[in-house]
Formats: sequence, structure tokens, C-alpha cells
Amino acid sequence: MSHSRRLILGAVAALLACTAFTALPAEAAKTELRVGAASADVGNLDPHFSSSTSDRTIVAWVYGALVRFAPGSTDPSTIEGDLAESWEATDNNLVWTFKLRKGVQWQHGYGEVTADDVVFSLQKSADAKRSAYASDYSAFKTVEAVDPSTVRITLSNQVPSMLGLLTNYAGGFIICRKAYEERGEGFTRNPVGFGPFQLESTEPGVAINFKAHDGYFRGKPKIEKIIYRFLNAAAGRDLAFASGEVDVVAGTIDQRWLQRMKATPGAIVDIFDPAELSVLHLNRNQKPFDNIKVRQAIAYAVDPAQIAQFRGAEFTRVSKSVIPSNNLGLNPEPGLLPHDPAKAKALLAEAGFPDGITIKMISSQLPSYAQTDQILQAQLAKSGIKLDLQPVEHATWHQMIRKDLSPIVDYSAARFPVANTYLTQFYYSKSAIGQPGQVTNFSHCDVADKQIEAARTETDPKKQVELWQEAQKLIVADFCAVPLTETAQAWARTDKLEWGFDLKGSLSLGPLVTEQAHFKD
Amino acid sequence: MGQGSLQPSASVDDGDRVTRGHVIISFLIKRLGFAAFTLFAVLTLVFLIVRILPGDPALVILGDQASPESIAALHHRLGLDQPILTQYGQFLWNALRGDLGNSMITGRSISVEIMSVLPYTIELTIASLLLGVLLGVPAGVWAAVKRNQIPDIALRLVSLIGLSLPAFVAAIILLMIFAIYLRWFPVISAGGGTDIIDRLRQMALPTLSLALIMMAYITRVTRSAMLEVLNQDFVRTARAKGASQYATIWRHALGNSLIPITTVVGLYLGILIGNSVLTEIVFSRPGLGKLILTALTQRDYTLLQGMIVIYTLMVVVVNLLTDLTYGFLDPRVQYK
Repeated sequence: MSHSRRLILGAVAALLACTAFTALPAEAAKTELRVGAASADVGNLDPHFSSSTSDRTIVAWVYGALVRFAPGSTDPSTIEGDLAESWEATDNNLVWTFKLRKGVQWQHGYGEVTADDVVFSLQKSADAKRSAYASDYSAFKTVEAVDPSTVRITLSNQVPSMLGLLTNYAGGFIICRKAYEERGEGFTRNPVGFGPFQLESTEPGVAINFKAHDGYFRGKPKIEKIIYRFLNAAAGRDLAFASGEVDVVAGTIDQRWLQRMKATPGAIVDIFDPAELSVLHLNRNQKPFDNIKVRQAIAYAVDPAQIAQFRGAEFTRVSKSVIPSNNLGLNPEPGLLPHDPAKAKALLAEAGFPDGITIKMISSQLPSYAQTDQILQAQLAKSGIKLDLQPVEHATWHQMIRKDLSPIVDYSAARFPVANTYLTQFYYSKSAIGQPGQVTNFSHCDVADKQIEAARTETDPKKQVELWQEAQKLIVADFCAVPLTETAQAWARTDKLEWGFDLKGSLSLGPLVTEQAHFKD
Repeated sequence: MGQGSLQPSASVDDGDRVTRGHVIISFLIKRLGFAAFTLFAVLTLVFLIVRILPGDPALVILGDQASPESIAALHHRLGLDQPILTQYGQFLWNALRGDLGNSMITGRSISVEIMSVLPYTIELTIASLLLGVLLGVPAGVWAAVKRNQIPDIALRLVSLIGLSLPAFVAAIILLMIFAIYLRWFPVISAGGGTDIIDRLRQMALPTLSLALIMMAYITRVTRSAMLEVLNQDFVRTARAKGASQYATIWRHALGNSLIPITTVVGLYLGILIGNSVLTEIVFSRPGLGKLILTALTQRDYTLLQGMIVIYTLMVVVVNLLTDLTYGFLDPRVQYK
């Protein structure tokens, strides 16, 4: 045997030797939950700043709130007490008093949760320098501790869903004042809440580890440890799940992923709300969309059913209105137009474009957006509308559409499930791009301002819903927004894992892990 | 390699051996001065580029529901509302003091961010480099010796595949075979323990994935360098004076082929540090490449700047070391 051959064989043998002397990975203990997240790293775990899907998923395990959505639901009618044992409001709904449970303990030995913590947290949520959700709390006039277990909130005006602002979502989470003041900037990486799981350690870019909060007031969690792995690549995540290295994994909104998971032995796919509503926003201030006939032509030209079918009917459905269908105040029949390319062509001709029209569209390169936009391009082409797609990187796209650089914007979002939030952010004139209160009104829609404003202070719930429904009807009739589809969240898990509730929804966008989660024997 | 300041001379000048040390030091000083200039230029360029790029870190941090008030407050906190020259001056001053600042997204210190992933990059780079050299050099020598015979054709084909196959495709194929079907190695190639065996098992597939590409490059370069050297007079002389086949090939011929091989290794090492991003993503490993990509997509200006500084430093050091290695491999090389 020549020397070169010996060297090659030696190198290969050395590599294979690594495998010969090692054991297969041991089966995880039944109390250790391993999660594969679609994220590269942890971001900000101050719940009043957490905005990425991954961070939101985590903070919902660490923190609690005054009230909460029943686990597994995003329906506002299921809101129940969390830290608050009971609450009452004055007749005009301007003064709210919450009685806190006694003996609820902070994680990491920070003692008992008091009214002072609640006051501090809600004041922080309302402060733009210390919270990303401050505008939601602008009606909070005072938040005061009546005694160590009673909190009183006084509003300057009525809000559409007072309890909604105090749920386990965004600014509603309660943080430990002492820990926040002690840890300063470090609190964003070392959070302290009173939820079922507390942060134990972080391996940047690798994983974040949690352990059960033994003093959790609903009882010690059955899961003792959670390893939250950062597996940003979809292929790597799916392979890790297939090999049994993780028990739960964030899904990909793709029919092939769903089919693959369904074919994986022992895998269960959870499809749950909130579904992200995809809407085409047509800028009424820019040509050619300043002409209502062109907007109407777009509404006829699109075929949402085809998009839903392509993306996977099990987690994508045709939208019912210009707000997500899980919202309180949905108008299930706002008068959406059917798909009719012939009528679209006729309308374009009436609008002065008998030979068709070319429209520039800045499109995100994020796969979910890119896919939808390419389908739209093909659909609109059948009606003589040429969509000139200009794909840009996602962060760039976010900034460009906030400068009115794209006359047509495809935007997907899920919001707090009360109609006011979505209507205000996307269709209220003061939220239009360029306004001081700019949020995401890309179409510069203003046809339903009166109804949106009136609904905010309407005390009669039935009338409030009617106003929201009327607003949707007006927006649909103006064609400033053309709703397409709604896409739910999808995760896969091993069939040995039980959440402890029926997972139909989770506002944190990931599965809520509570004290009830456990592995079946 | 480098900035063209190396020149091989026709013969070794014995009289200059005493001053060789001084020449090397002078060479080093020149190169370090050039490195400092390169670093400054890169710092300025990166500072400007990340700010020219559309995309607002505040939107990434606060999310798409953030009010203009919250965005303005965050801009102020991050210093992004300052004039660009003030930001640049502050950045340079901090960089000079060795303070790269904190990540805008995670709030962690940039040094901590980089140091937490650097060991992963270094271990993967060194391991794949070693394996690539261990496999590639003998393969190249063998192919040259067996020129136009079956081993040569087979190795050329293998190295062609290695060069053509994208790293992530090779990574997924390796994962499917060794992690899913055979279950020899884990899919997740990082974290979970300090046990050396676990660590080796985690490293095996990403190392192999990168080493196969490295091997392809080295095989081809070694083969062509060897073919050139094997035809030279001194090899024929070595054979004529009765040197064994082993000594002729491995000592005389390979010894005189090391310069181009070293050049490729040095070049590829620089590329490997940043270019392993796809391998890091598929194998779920942290690393400099993955970190820089994350910083870019999240518009984490400070992290991106810090990463580029470190990356530039590493490339400069690798280049310098490669240049110095030439002198050790071939005494005829002079540093000017």
C-alpha cells in the first residue's frame, strides 16, 4: 500500500472512529421540553418591547398579567383573572379597581407581587421611552395602589377593550419593579416575572434555558426544564424534529411542510390563531389609485381562493373582511367582490386604461410575501394589470413602504383581536403614512373615521360592534383595501407532549407553555 | 498573497542571514501600518454603508405597531438622532479605545457577542482546514503521481463535485445520511454540553461539510503544483542518485510545491471564516458568519460595525501569517 493511500485511509478511519466510540443521544427526561424556534437569537425580553414572534413566545412563559386569555384561546370573551382575583368598574367604565391575589411570588426569590409592581408596570407601559406600546395606554390618567393588594386605574376617556389592555399581551404584562431597577439595561436579557417558567441561562445564538418556577401560584409546572433552541433554518429545524432532538418545532407556512409533518410518525401539527390577515393596500393619494374604478378593478382581479389553495387550505383561508376574522366586531359580510377578470378589464377601460395598466409594487423578499406577490402578479395579468414587482430585502421594504414609495402594498399582520386595533392602525386617517401619528395606513383611507372614533367611546357593546361593522363596510366599498387571505400559526410537536388545553389560539404567536404541559408516559 | 511585497530571489544570499531578522521586523512594521490603514478605511466604509442602507433598527426593535413617539424615543436612546458626523466621531473614538459598544438589538456588549461565537468559528475553521489539508494534499499528490490513470480521473471528478456542490446542499445530504438515517451524529451541532465526545460528534458533520470543499481546492492545486515540480531537473537528479520513490515525491517534490498550496490555504482560510455562514445556519451552529448575517438583516449597526472590524483584523492577520510562512517554507523568499 502506498503512503498516500495509507494517509487517506488513516484520515477516513480517524473520522469514522469518532462515531464508533460514541453513544446515541440519550432519550430526554420526560420533564424536559426541547423547543426548536425559528429565530437566530434572543432579542428583547422586556415584555413591553418584545416584538419578534420568538421573543413574544418566550415572554408569555415568563410573565403574567392582571388578567389573561384562557390558555389556548384568543377570544376576548374568555378573558379571566390572572394576578387579579376580581375587578369592578364604575358605570361609565372610567374607574377600574382590581383586587390582587395574595401570595403570588416573583421568580428568582424577589418576593411577593404587590400593587406597587402593578402600578410601576402599567406606568412603564404607558411611557414611550420605556415601552413600544405606550400609545395603547394613552387613556390611562392615573394608576394607583389603594393598598398592597388593590390597584385603581382611572381613565381619561373610555377605551374599546379595557381588559384587553391588561391581558398577557404586550404592555399588559406585569414586571418585577425591584428586579427591573436592580438590573437596569440587563433586565432585557434577565427578566423576572411571576409566570410558570423562569430564565435560567442563555447561550447566545444557541439556546435559552428555562426552569420551572416552583413558587408559581397555580402550582408547580409539570415540565421542569425548557431548552429553547435557536434553529433559524427551516431545513435544520425540521431535521432536528425528525431526529427527535426537539419535541416542538416552529412550522413553515407551506403545504409541503404540512404534508411532510403529517407523514412523520408521531408528529402532531397545531394550527392556531391569530391568523395573519394579508391585505392589498391601494394608495388613494397616488395615481392610478386615486381613481376608484382602478381600485375596484383590482378587487375584481384578485383571486384569494386560489392563493389560499396554493399556500395550503388547512392554514390559509380566504379572508372575510378587512380585519382578521377572529376580531371582536368582525363584519362577516362587508360586501367583498367576487373574482371576475372580465369586470376588472371593463372597469379599467372605463377608467381610461383600455390597454391595461402597469403598476409598480415594492415587494418584500421574505418567502411568504414573495410567494403571494408572484401569484398576484399572475392573477392581475389576466385582467390587463401588469404588476411591476420590485423585490427588496425585508427590513428595507418596511422602511420604503413607510415612505409611500409603493402605491400598492401587500401587508400581513395579526393584531389584538378587537376590531378597534386593526381599524385604527390600518384605516384611520391619523395613522396614515406621513401623519404625526403614522402607523400602517398605507392607503390613506379615511372613509370610516367617524365610525372608528364613535366606537371607541360607545358604552353599549352591541352598538359598538355595529359601528365597527359599518366601518368595514365603508372601507370595502371604497376599495382602499382589498383583503386576500388569513394565515394561521403552525407548529409541530411529538404526540407524547400534551399542552394541557386545546390549542386553538395563542396571542404570543407560539404555543403557551403553562403549568399543565406534560409528556405522556 | 498580500500586497506584493514578497519576492523570491534566484539564490539564498548567506551573507544576509544576519540581517534577515531586521528585514522581517521592518516588513512586519510596514504591513502592520498598512493593516491599520486598511482597518480605518473599512471602519469608515462600513459606518457609511450601514447608514445608507434603507431599514431602521428601531422598527426591528419595536415592531411594526410602534408609534412615531416610541420610535423617536428609541432613536434618541441609540444616538441615531445625532448628526452623522457626531455619530462617526463617537464611533471612531470608542473604537480607538477598544470599545465596540453594545448590540442595538440584544443590548449585549459587542465584545461579548463576538467572543460568544468566536470559539465556534475558530474550532470549525481549524478542524475543517486540518481535515481538508490531511485529505487534499495526499489526494493531490496521488493524482499527480498517477496522472491520467484511474485514481487521477476519479480524484479530479471528486474535486470537481466538491467545487460545484453548494455548501448547504452538501450539508443537507450529510445530515440526511449521517444524522437522520444512520443516527451517528446529531442534527443540532452546538450547545447542550461540555463533554469532549459530544463536542466532537457535534463538530463532525459541519467539519466534514467544509473540509470536503477545502479538500477539493487543495487537491487540484497540489496536483498541478506537483505535476510542474515532478518534471523539473532536481527531481530527475534525486531519482538518479537513488532516492526512494517516497523521498522523491514527499520530500523533494512536495516540499517544493508547498508555496502555491500555502497560498490557497491562506486564501481559503480567510474566506472560510466568513463564508461558513450557510454551514452554520444549516447545522444550527453559532458563528461569525451567522452573526454578521443576523446583524445585517436586523440593521444592528453597532454589531455589524464591530463584526466587520473583527473580520478585517482576522483576514489581515491570516494574510500576514501566510506571507511569513512563505519564508519558512522557502528560504529563497525575501521580505522587502
